[in-house]
Amino acid sequence: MAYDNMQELERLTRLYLEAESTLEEEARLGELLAALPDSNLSEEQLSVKTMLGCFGRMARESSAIRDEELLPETKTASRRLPLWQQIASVAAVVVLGVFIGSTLALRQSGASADPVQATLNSAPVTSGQVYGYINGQPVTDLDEALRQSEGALHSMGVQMNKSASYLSSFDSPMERVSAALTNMK
Amino acid sequence: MTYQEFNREIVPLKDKIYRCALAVLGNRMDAEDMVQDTYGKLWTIREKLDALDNREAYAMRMVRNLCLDHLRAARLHEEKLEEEFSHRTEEGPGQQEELKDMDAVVRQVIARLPEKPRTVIHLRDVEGYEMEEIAAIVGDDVATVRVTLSRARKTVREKVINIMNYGIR
Repeated sequence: MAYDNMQELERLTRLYLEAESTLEEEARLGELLAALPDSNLSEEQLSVKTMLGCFGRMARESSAIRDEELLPETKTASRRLPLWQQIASVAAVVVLGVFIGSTLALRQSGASADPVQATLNSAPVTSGQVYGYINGQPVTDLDEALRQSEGALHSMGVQMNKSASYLSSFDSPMERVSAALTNMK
Repeated sequence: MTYQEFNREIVPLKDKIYRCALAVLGNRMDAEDMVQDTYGKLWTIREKLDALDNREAYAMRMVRNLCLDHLRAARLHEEKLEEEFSHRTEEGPGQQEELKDMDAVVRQVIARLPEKPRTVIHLRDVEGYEMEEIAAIVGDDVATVRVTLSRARKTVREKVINIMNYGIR
């Protein structure tokens, strides 16, 4: 390492120990120390390198608490869909699923003269197969219809999970009570 | 402050608040309890948070104060640490191996510092706060914080050197 860098290292180490360094100078000190093998450092520099390394690892520690646990449960409830909307979502997904499933089955069996096919052919589009309607618009692409179905099922799953999530809030207080009782024994 | 603003601005401070509580208390479970308590209080006064210039510093000051209250209530501060460390030095071979790790040594030395230097060194060297912010959190002036920090760093340095040279803790 160049003489200038060694001088800078000594100066920054002194400033650090006197708590006169800026955050930028402390970051630079860390860089200089990390770039050198331990055998090239003085006893004092090696001790500071050990400290800075440990502080860096401590800064990456995180708690096991989930974000949801820090927010009031009552607020999450207001974001849930009303019951009738949840039921309507389920019904819509089931109808769409049955529709697509039967269409695929018909396509595989080649039963194009089936009444279902006739209904599809009479759909108000000029070309292509109609697999369903989104916002009043016909969906004629099979892959798109499958994507929309998956999306709807996923969305429904998320909503169903949310509606039951408040139950987990009972776990923590019960654990605390149990811990408190254990400590009292 | 709305629910969304609280979620966006205050919840991400969770890990900093946790580490600060851990630095003061030295116990993960207690630290997590303090995090929960801090967020409960912050939510209660969320309307007032809008008027604050530095909400993060306010949250850090709050968790520190809650931790100090917790320690006072338990009346176990120094006794608990002394007990913990005297117990540790009598641990078996596995624990001795752990203490050889310099990280564990530095953590132990910091944990043995009195509360204020311990918090100051944590806020500066682990969290990277400016001196002015630390002064606001611990309720001292900047010059006092510098003196406290310098002494804390030199104490840790001396202990680390002793351990490196002689294995003395």
